[in-house]
Amino acid sequence: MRPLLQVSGLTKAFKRGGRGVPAVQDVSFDIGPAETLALVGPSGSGKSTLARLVTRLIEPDGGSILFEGEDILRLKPKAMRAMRARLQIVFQDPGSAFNPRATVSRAIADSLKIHTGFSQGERRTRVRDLLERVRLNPDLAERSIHDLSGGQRQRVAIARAMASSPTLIVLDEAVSALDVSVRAEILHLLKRLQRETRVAYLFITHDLGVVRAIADRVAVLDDGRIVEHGSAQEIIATPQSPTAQALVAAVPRLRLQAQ
Amino acid sequence: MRRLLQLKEFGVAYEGGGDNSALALEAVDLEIRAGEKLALVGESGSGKTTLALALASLLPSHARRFGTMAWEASEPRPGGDIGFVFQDPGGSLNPVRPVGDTIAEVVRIHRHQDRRTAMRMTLTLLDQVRLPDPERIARAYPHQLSGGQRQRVALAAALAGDPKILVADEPTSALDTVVQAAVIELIQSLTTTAGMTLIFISHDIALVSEFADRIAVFRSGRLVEVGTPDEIIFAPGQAYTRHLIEAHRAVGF
Repeated sequence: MRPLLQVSGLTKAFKRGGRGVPAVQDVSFDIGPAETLALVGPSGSGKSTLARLVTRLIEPDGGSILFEGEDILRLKPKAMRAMRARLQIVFQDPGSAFNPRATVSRAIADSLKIHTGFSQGERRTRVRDLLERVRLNPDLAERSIHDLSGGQRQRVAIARAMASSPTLIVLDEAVSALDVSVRAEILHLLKRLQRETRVAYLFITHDLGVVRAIADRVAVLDDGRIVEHGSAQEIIATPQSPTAQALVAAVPRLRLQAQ
Repeated sequence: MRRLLQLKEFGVAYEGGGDNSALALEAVDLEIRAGEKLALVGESGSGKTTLALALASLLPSHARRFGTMAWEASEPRPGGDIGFVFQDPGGSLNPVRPVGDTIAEVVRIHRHQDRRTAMRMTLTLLDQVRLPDPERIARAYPHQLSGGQRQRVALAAALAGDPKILVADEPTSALDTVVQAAVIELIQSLTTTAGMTLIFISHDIALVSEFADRIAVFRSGRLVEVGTPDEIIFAPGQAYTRHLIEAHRAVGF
C-alpha cells in the first residue's frame, strides 16, 4: 500500500543570535491510511517544528513531503490551500486556535466555507452532523467558544478539522492540557472517528501513556533526529535509546501493590 | 502525626458576576497533619485549587468563607510559614528582574537577612533545587530559562521564606513527562528532608499515588473520600474515585 504521507530527509534550522540552530535534522517517516504514528520526544526535541513543517505552516530547509502522492512543497499557494482540506492540524490549546468570540457553529461553518462548495443551508446541516459526530450537545452550537470547558473546546477543534473530510490530521499535543479523565474521553473520540472515516493521525506528544492508548507506531525524537522507531508496544516494553527509556520511566504509574 | 489543621463544614463561595454566588467548596471535613504529604485530587471545577488558596490565605476578595478552619498553632503567614508553587511558574516570578533578586527579596523579608547574606542563601537555594551553575541562573531573567528551570526557580522562591508548609498547585502540568518526574522527585525529597507539610494539587491520581501519604478526592466542590493511596487505589469507596482510576488506566501505564 502506498503511504499517505511520506517524509524524507526533512531538515530545518532556526536563526538564533546570527547563526543557524538545527531544530529538525534529516527526519524521514511515513504514515499509511487509517494509521496513527506518534512522534514522541522531550521539550525541545523538534516535534512541534515537525508538526508545522508537515502542514507547511513553515518551510523546511531541505527534504521532501509527499502527501497523497504529491510533493506538497512544490504546490502553489492556491493548490496548497485546496490540499489543506485533506491535511488538517489541531493544536494543544483549543482556546488560542479560535476567535474567542466566535460561536461553536460559526467556527465549524467557517471551515466548511473555506474548504467545501456547500450552500449555507447545507453547511448548517453539516455543522449539526459534525457536532453529533464529536458528541457535543447541539444546544452548545450558538454558545461562544470562550464559555466552553477545555474538553468541549477540543471537541470543537476536532469537529472543525473533520469538517473538510481530511485524510490526515496532525495532532500537536492535542490532549496534553486536559485533565486525565477528559484526555481519556478525547482519545476515545479520536479512535472512533478513525474507525468511521479511516483518517490517519500524526500524533505529537511527550507522554507515552497517551501513545499506548492511541498509537500504532512510534518515532522517538531527540535533538531534532529520530533516535528510535517501532511499534508502540515494542517501544514501551523494550525501549532501546536513553531518550525512550527516560520517557517510559517518566510516565506516572498507579501504585501497583500495597506497600 | 500531630494535627496541623482541622476543617469543619468548611466552604467557599465566589460572589458577584451577575449569577448567584457560586459555591466552589462545600461542607468539607478534613484534618491535615503536620509533616504529611497530602494530595488534593479532582477534575477542573472540583474545588481543589479553591481549598489550596484558602489554606494559603490567598482567596480573592470576592470569595466568602464559611465553616471553620482551625489551625493548631497561629495562622501561617503567606510567603513565610507557607510557600506556594503554581502551574505557571511565570506567575510568581517578576519578568523584568533577574530571578536571583526575586528569591533574595523573599529571603530578606522572611528570614530578616541583609543583602549579601540573602544573595548567598539564594545561591544555596538554587543549588538545592538542583539547578546547575546557580550564579548564572541567579542573573537570568525568567524568559531566558526553560519551563523546567523556571519551575525549579519558583520552587526555590517558595522555599526562600523557610516555610513549614508547601502548597503546590499542579506544579508539573505544563511540563513534559520527563521534566515532570524530576520535579516531583525534587519536591518530594526537599519536603521530606525539611519535615515540611506538602499539599499537592493534581488531576492525576496515578501521579500522586507514587508519593502521597494520603489522597483526598474532590468533585464539584465536595470531598468525596480521603485515605492512603493503598485504600484509595485498591479499595476506592466511591464510584467517582473508581472513574478517575479507570481514566488513568485508559491513558497511562
